[in-house]
Amino acid sequence: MSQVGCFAEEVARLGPYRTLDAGPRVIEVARITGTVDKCGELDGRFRLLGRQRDRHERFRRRRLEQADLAVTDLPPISVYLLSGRYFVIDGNRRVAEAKRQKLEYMDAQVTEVFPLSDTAALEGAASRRRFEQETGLRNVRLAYESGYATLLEDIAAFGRAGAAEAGAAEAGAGGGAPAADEPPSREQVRRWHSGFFRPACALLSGSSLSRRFPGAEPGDLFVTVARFYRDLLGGYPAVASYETLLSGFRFARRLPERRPLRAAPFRLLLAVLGLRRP
Amino acid sequence: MLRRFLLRLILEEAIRREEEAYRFYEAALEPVRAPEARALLRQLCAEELRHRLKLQELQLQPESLEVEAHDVQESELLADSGPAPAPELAGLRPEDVWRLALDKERLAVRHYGLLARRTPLPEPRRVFAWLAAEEQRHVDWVLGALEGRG
Repeated sequence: MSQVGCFAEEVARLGPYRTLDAGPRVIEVARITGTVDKCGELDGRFRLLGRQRDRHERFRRRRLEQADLAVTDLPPISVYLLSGRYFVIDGNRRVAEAKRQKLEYMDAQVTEVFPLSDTAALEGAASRRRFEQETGLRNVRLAYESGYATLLEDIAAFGRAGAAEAGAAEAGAGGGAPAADEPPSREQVRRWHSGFFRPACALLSGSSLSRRFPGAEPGDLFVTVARFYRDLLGGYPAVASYETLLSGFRFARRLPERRPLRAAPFRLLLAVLGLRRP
Repeated sequence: MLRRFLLRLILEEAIRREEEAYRFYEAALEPVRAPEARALLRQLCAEELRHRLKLQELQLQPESLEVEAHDVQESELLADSGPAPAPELAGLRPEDVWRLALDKERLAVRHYGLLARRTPLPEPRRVFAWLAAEEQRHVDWVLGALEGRG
């Protein structure tokens, strides 16, 4: 029978490390695969291994099961996040119950662990933390965390574009755009997230781009497209829909795109009309 | 219906031309070494991509393609020309690259100018006229680069 992973063993492989408080989060139960202080005592579903002599422990577990409590009503567990896996500091029984109830998510207080040698991971985590603090958004997932800085820039640019539009409408009514280094307002974040980022991610996750980059989250693809336009055009052109932006990106990056109007019969038609060389 | 479809085809052809221009300037970055000239080539790449986006956006808006009762003499449009296939630029001197670019940009000015004059629909006409002005600006830039000899 499989056992849960042991934090001490995993962290010993890392060498020197540091931790970063990531605060309260909703985490995937499936990614909780280890424990800090119950090494060798729990099976893969956080149940006690073999016959336990600890009557008190047995009693507490049974009481949790019989009470049929919603785990979501209980206080958050505490976990370390190490290499994409969660290790339980406090809350092994709650995790066992969550797994028994086949819950997908639960609340947790998360502390991230990084090897000191992995500066990219540290910088990425710092970037994500800044993003979360400035925007209040905690459900934006990126596989490549350096992209959070780009998302912050994107929100700022989105806010400036909105302010410019409003300013044009009100013809200089004093509603200036926020400065680049000013944290975005929550309203600005909300409009960017629900009106631009999420629809764009929905489009990206259904596109062939996500199949081309299998490890990437839709958010990572969004960042890639945003960086492309920032570097070439200084940002998104104002008039273009995201569908059009994606098409432009595909073209520039030589990614395949269906353009049915370029089929041979249509090319021939244009040639007959003198609009195109045969 | 037919004319609306034809306009879609015309827009697709214009998009294809913009793509070709983008690839031309992208390829021209190879033989051109002077930093200022390279910056101009990158700017031209950006402009051609911007035009492509503009045209595609127009193509995606069916309401802007609604037909007015007006006869479009499509056969008159640029019967004399079409963009030449992108040449191999690797061995060319910078001034030859700029001369080729000048020909392409002048052709683009004519192309969009004619489309703007011949298209009866207000929104496409406005976009084509804007594109013609844009391409004229590119002609001026390329002439400037030629005078500076790339």
